[in-house]
Amino acid sequence: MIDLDVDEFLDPDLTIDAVYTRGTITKTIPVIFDREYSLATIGDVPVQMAGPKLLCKSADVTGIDTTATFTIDGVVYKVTDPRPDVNGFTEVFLTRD
Amino acid sequence: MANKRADIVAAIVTKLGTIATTADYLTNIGLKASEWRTIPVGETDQFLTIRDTTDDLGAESLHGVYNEQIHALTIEVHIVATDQGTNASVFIRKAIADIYKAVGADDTFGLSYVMKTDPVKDEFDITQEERKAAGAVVTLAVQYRTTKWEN
Repeated sequence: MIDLDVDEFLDPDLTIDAVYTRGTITKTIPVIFDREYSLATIGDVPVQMAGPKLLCKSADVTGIDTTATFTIDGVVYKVTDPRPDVNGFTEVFLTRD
Repeated sequence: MANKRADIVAAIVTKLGTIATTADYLTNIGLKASEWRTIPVGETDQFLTIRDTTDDLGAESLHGVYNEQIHALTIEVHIVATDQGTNASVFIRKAIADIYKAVGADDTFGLSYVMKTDPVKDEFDITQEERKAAGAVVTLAVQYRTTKWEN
């Protein structure tokens, strides 16, 4: 476990606002958003795929599961795989479909 | 000089290129039909591409005709769709049905030296990151005849 100040790490210069929604909870939280491209294959045909994910403060998304969504720049992303760590961060993998 | 194998592949591309909802098919997967496409599929796209992967040659005298060669040409029809969202799996099933329908309408593709085409199998694949990408490989076997050493 690393001694990190989660709020300091999520500096406003590094983060963007995302609207987190889960059930009746809706709130705007700071996240570090990434949308890295990778090359997958279907059969053996290459397919370009963006893999959106974000990093946020675990305390902001308590109880997060695959029913939750994040709205970022007007795009609604569904949560596919939330991964909380022991340092107070949660890495969240996202999809649009 | 004509090349029968090349003509067969071209005829299949042309035939599958007719798959469109306006022609009484279930999908428009034929609107982007090609052979041996290797360019990566974009994030919101759909297409089919054809690969003539293997040509199994029968024995010269298999049918008792000297100097005749029977070929069993394996054709893989690769379908990919990245623009169907949650409907991706349903779309691919329909596209598979469209391919069988198109080939079944004339399994010689109008070529006199093609004896028949048989469906061999279809394999389904799907993956997901930001978008769902779904696809299938439909394998066909095209039997045709040439003279020995001709392709």
